[in-house]
Amino acid sequence: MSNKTILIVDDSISIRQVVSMTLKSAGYDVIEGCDGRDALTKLDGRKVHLIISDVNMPNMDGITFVTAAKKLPAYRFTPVIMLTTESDAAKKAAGQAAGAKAWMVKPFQPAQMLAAVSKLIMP
Amino acid sequence: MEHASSSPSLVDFTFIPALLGACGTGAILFVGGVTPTTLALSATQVVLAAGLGFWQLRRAQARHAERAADQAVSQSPASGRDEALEALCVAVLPVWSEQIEAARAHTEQEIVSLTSRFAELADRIHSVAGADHGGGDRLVNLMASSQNQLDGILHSLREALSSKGALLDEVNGLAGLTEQLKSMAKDVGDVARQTNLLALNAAIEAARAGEAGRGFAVVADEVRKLSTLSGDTGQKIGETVETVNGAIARTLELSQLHAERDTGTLNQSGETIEQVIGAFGGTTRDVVERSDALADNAAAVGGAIAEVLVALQFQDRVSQMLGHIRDDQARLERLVIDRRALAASGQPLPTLDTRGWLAELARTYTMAEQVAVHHGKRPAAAAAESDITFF
Repeated sequence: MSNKTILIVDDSISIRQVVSMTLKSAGYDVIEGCDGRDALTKLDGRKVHLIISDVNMPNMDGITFVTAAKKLPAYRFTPVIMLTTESDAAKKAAGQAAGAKAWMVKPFQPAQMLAAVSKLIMP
Repeated sequence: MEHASSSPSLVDFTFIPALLGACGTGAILFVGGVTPTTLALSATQVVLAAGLGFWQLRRAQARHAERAADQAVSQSPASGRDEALEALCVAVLPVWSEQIEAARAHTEQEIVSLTSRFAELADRIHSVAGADHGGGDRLVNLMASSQNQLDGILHSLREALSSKGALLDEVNGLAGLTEQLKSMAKDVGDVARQTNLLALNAAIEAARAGEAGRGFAVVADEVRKLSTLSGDTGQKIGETVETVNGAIARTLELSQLHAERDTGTLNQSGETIEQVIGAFGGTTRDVVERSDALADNAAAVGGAIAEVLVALQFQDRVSQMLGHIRDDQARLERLVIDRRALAASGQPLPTLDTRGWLAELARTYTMAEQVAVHHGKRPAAAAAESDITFF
């Protein structure tokens, strides 16, 4: 479980903090991006075992970010969890089409978050 | 209110100055007669009167145009417009938006600060609980190990004492052997006495035999000397055995005394060790119980903090809702400004599409509760578990 890195992308600092704390308590390493554009610069070829991304963000939204990240060879198979307040079916379908593996509606429960991460994270 | 008014005509505004000019010209010619001077003055009078009339006409036309524009901008029953309300909207909507943004930013800042502090607390509790984890077990194990070692020492001491007892039994056995030695020494004395008597009888018989028994008398004398010597030796053996027997008896007495003292000391040590171990065990149990209680409390506090952090996620939802209201107010402000501009330029105002506006607002929603509120319903209570869909 240790030495696995997870990228958190959310424009809300408090959400990033809560997600980060939840993941760090389980032994994961965490890097953060404040929107899609920032997250793409944070990726920069580094090894990331899972991505957790918000949908509605300034500069670059989550769906666009995931689509762009999935085009990069290093992140083609990196699992993505969309973490958003959106529960609209069309948005979910867009997330799935972009390559997301799960759609989690905020507010999230830490135990469920960790269970989903454990289920999807790359070995 | 609609004001029906016609545009001012040239006749309306030049008639009175022209009339006054004509009267003035007549008066000048009547008083001064027809002279070049009066004719010049009269001409000047007419030109001034005509100019005054034209100026008044332009001014009236300008006023009319302004009034028409004002009428278009001001209350118009046909369009339902209210300039004062529009002005109020244009003035107050940005203020509302600023206030909402300020409240949103303030809440976000404080929630971020709270989240950081709670996260720090959770980290500390986690590290403390982790550091203390197993401390109670280690203490209990240490106590058990100490008790085993001390019991081992007591066992060794008891074994040593038991060996000492076996040794004393052996020495006691020696005491029995010395009695046999004493008996044997007595037997040697008895044999010597019997031999002495026998030698004496042999000497008597040798004397009776005369010259023939002279040699035998010498032998009998030597035998008597030997029997005397044997008797002395037997007596010395008896005395020596008696001495050894006394020494053994004293050794046994001292050894038994020491053995009793050692047994007492050992028993006392055992009791002391049991007391110490018992007291240590009691304290250890207290420490372990307190440690367990602390660990339980730390886990409970950690769990409560995790719940608080989950609850603090409301800030993200509130921020989004306020952001949508702020954006829609800005949209309304732009609409009011655009319609005022259209009205001021005399262009017809498009019909307001209230349903379309609300539909556009609804499209910006990201949360089910926003949609529920939009349709006048109560927002559903927060679910106990996250809504998660795996693709």
